[in-house]
Amino acid sequence: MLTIERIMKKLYALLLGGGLLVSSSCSDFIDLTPTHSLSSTTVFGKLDDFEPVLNGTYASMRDLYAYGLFQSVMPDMMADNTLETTESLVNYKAVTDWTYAADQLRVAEVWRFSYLMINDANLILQNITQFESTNPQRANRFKGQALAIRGLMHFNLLRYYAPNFDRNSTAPGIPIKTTPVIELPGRATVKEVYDQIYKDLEAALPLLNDVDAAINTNTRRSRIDAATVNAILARVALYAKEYDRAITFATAAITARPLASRASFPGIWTDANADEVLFSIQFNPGEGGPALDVWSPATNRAQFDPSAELLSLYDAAKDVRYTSYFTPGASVPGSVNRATRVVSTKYQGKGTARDGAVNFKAFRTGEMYLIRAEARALSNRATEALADLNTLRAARIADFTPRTETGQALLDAIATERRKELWLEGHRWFDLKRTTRVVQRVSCRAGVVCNLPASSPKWAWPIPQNERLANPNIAQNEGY
Amino acid sequence: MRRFVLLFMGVLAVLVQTALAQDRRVTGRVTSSEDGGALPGVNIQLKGTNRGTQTDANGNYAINLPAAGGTLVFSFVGLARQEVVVAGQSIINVALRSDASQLSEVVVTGYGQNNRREFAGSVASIPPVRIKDQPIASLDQLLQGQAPGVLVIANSGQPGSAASIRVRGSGSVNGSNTPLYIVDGIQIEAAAFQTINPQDIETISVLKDAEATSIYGSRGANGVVVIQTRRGKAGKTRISYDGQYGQSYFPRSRLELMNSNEKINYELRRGGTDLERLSAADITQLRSIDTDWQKEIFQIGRTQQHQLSATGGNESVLFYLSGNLFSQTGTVKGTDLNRYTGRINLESNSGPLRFGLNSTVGYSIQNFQTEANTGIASPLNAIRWANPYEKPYNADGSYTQLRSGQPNPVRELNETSRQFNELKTVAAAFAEYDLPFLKGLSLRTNWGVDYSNQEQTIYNSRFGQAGTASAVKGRQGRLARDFYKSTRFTGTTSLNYSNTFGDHSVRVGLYSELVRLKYGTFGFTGYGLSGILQNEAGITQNNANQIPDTRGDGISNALLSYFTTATYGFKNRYFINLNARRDGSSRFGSAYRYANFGSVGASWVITDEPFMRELTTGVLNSLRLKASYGSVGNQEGIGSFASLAIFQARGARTSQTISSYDGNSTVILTQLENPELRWEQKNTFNVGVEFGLFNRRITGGVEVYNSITKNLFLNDQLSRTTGFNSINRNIGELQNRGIEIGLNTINVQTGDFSWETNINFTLNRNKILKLTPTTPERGNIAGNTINRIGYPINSNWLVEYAGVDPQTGAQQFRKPSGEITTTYDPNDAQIFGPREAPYFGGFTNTLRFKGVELSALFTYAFGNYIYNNDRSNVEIPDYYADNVSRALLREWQKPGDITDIPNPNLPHQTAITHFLEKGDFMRLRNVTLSYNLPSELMRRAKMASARLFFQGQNVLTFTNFLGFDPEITGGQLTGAQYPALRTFTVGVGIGF
Repeated sequence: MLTIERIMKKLYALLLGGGLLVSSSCSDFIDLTPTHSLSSTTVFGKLDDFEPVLNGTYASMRDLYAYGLFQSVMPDMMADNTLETTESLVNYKAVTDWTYAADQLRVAEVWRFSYLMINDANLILQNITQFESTNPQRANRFKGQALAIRGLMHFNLLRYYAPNFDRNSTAPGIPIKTTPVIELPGRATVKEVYDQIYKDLEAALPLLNDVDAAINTNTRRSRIDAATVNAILARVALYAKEYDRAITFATAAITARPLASRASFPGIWTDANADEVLFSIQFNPGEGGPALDVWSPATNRAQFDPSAELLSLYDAAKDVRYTSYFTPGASVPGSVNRATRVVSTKYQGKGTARDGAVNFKAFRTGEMYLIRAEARALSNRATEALADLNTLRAARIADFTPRTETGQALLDAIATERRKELWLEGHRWFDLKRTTRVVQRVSCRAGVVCNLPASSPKWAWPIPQNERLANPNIAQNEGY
Repeated sequence: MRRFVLLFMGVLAVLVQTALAQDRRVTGRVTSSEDGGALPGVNIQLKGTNRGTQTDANGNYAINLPAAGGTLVFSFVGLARQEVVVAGQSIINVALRSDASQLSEVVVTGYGQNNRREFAGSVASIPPVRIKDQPIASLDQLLQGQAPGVLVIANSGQPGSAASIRVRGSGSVNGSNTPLYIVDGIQIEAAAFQTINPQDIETISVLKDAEATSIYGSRGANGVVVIQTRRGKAGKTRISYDGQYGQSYFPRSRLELMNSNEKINYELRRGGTDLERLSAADITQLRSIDTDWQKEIFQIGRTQQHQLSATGGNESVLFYLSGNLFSQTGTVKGTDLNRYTGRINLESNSGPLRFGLNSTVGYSIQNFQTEANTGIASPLNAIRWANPYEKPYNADGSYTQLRSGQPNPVRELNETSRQFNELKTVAAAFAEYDLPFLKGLSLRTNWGVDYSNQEQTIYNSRFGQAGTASAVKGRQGRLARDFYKSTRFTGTTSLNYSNTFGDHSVRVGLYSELVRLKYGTFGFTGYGLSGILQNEAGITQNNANQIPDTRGDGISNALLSYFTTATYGFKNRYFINLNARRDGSSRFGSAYRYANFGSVGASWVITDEPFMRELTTGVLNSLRLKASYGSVGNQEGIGSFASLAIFQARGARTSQTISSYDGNSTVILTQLENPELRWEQKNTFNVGVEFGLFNRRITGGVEVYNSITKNLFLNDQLSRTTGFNSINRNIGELQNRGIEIGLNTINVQTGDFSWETNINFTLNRNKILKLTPTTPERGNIAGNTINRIGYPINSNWLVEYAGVDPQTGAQQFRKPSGEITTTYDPNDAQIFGPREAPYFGGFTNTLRFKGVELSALFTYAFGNYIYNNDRSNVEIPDYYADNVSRALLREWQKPGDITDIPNPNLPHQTAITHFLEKGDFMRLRNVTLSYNLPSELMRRAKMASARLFFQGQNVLTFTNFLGFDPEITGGQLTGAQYPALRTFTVGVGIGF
């Protein structure tokens, strides 16, 4: 005889069975996996899968907080190469006027975003070990690039956040991240950070010289290859004042990518050619641009103008850089209000496009000549230094007669040439930081801060407030 | 088993005896006083006896009475009991009135109906008659001020836009705070209400505490809005038409901007802008222009609505059919909503088997403008920023280019269109069967689907700035279209037992429920619209610089629940409710998928106690106490795969979307692995009292609640060296406690005149009780918001502004120590008030005289603070090439000036209390004057009813907030505000 309880039990079982219909078991119904994205178990399944992850990191470099602004043109905007106009949306005023405090969003995001790309590299480096034996040359190709990216990003962080660039400085640098784990790291000293940067880059070099396929071509320089690593190392060594190493690495980079001719120079900026380019971050139409916050060709909004002081340094008629970098406002279509101004058209677009989507030349041979000239001048090799400087000037200026600067005049000439050559390429703020530590904005308008003395704490960005709140092991820079 | 049978026999014996004692016969018809329709199923009982009957499908009844007559009691759930002394009458016709907030009311929880007296949970019922005529497309917006504990903030006046609803405060930080919406037993999407027709609604109940929401367990933590659509009414088929027409107006902005002269003088005084380079004659010419950019963008909106419905049936089949057309143009040019809905509700009740179908199909087309942003191309921002000395058009009719470099707002408005279409079907079928072998045992299954197909199109022509921006490949216009397909099915199957044994009543239900959502998107963006065709057919193909973009995504998630509910009643005045459930969610890692929840409640009808009998006749008509405690879970608002590390082929890391590099595919990490994530749990204690006084002239209730969310989803801040800001973890505890008061009073009732008042008030206190041990003592800070123990969630975190230094004009700040400084230090920030209003409610006054009714609804919310970013954008002196606030006319200019506006040439901060404003407001949300034509006239016109009305929506607003509208959630007015519409309509309702 059936009791009520038994009837109920049977019915309940029936109900559930009926309710579930097609599902074979209850837990299957809620056991779902992503179909349109990958998880950690599916993303590094085979060696070829590392390539899109690496591409993702390169694509991230287009971001505002990497080479979309802060590593591309912000160092010029922060110094005396540009002046903010009244067209500015003042989105970066706290940075360009050095009024940043530790809670400044931009200061926080450059920090986080650089570490995000470091985390990508660490994920690759952690997962690739299992494939190294099966196809070592292909593994080298990915591993070498990941190491180089990790080194470069640590260097980019050091540039903004460290109080000084001395090779053996015990001043606090930045945290070193070599594993993709959640932790609360402290700040390594500047020296330790340099050690790590050198270690990564010098480990990348042999790997990238032993790969299964060419990383770049002569006309496509979108990835970091061995030549780029030499260029990164040359820049690092210059900041560290290790001049012999700077000369060696710069020479290696120059050998790999000779200086462009004056005829081909303008084509570099419209991506008609990639002469002397070592590594450029690819911006295709619709992917933003490296300098839209200086002048946006599409909307014709010039938030920053080249400073009159900078413009006066060029021989406007003969210097190919002047015509490649600038256009008189009257010649820019649609400018109702810029007849008397000069517009920064260096990053106007690819070919004849006017959208600002043009590759950012992060490393090119012009800089290598200037690094080598400076390193030679500062290590008692003035003749070679002058030769490098004259070679560069002859390549840029028509009818150039070699000059004969020596001593401080030579150093000043190298610094001036650096400013002219590398305008809007992300150097000026750091060049001042590692040399005079003074910004003096000439013909500066009301509403813009005009001078930054060497004594200012602003030469080092503050450690972001949100980092310090989450991570008690991080000390703040002085003055914040 | 034997005892049951004996009891059953006893009941049967009583019935037989009653049947034998007949004497005389009374007949009649019972109708609804509201619409005159027949009421089937009304209980009619001879007072003091067991003798009784029910009305048939046409509302007719017949009852045999003893010769002495007596008093007949007419009762029906949801309607007021009525007693009629029979005396010598043989025909007694009765019209029953609706009876809100009374113990006889039905409580609709979605799974069947409960009698209010036995229900210990907290439920607010909103009579649909109060909201159905309001000229607003979105149902959620209509709930404002209608029920205690339910905070509705409109956020936007754009036709079809959704409101923000919080039931008893925000119980979650990272999870969802949006209530669950159940229509005819199935879950529907909370975000898109513009395609549901509010006129089809029969009842709306808002379930608030753990006891009431426990049957929705995993989905009910934020409250549940249960909607039942209209059922058919038996009897002659009745056809009704309802229509209305009206106009909407843009409200005045309390934020004042400079006029042409003021602005030109200001710019010239500051120097540095383009005006300096103009000649005196040019300046004079500019002064003669004074464009009101609002007039260029705004228009008078128009609303019309037409509804045709039919209802009827017989004892076994009931039907309701309706068709509705709603058309509204907004007050911003180019914004409108057109909606077409149809509904069929069918129900069959034959013998032990009942089954039915409720189904609706809706289609809506919405043209919209962007809002709540700081984009320079948003016309609603441009009306603030465009200078008054500029004109929209040149003499030749072409668009002007503004000197400030800003886009011309009229150009952006005309050259961009945004459209959102939705096709939505909500269908639910149920079957219920009374099992033959045990009385009171029934089996019910309810299956439904909420399907929506949405399509969004954004078109930027090649003549506007947006269509030639650098993001537009080739800069020759752009057409972006995205398709969204969402299918959510809900299946609930239950076995229910309900019976009464003398003084004991029992109701038990065993349930299993499945909910599964599948959501997919696909979209494309085409470029190069340089030809004649300005639609998808005109997209340029095979051009390397104008490669179209495509995108797609898909997610799914599922819930599986088993639960049981039980109610035991003794003497029809003591009740106990019990609920227990087990829920599984696909969103969590395998170790934390399942969780158990439950609740217990009790209800005591004090006025039914014998010792209360003397009191109940005069003063105290009804009094009930109830209390409940229970837990519900929350897993909404977190990602479908929240426990996994997620790598996406196409994703965003900051604002930029990453989908390829140098023409090659990419994969990026966008979410860190989070295997320990588990259910958020909300425990609520609720106690309430309900009363009726002075012959029910005063009715109402007071409830007090205390709910604590445990395992609160909260962003655990990470060292940014991980590359991520935070990870969602179950840290923390949050408390919401409050008091709710609802009161209905009949102030005057004399002859043809009556005055009724309905008041509701809520106080909700929100407080964080616990954060993760690694959280610094000062709290979890993200930008201008802070979560700190002892304070409301997402409190404002700003540095206090202390005015301007009269000597230098520099901004001054007050440190927590009280010291005044001109050095801004984020460490000096302090907590300044909550972002969510702790006090809110509404009150309605209704005056009736014969057929005329005047009712006015006021709603209010206060105690919250809003960061006015919209104001900061016109007070930042750096933006002086664009138009700025008149406040800058009083800015510091020379030493000795005493003002609150600083020297424009010094650095200035904006994360300061200068831009924090009180969000308090009260508004006359709705006022309606209506006239029901006399029934005598109707009968001659062969009509059942006719009604004319005039109404105003958002007629008056009382606030000090410096903007168009203080109804803002999230604690910040970002910019580009589209305020609530001020609408006036006239309407008619006719029934045949």
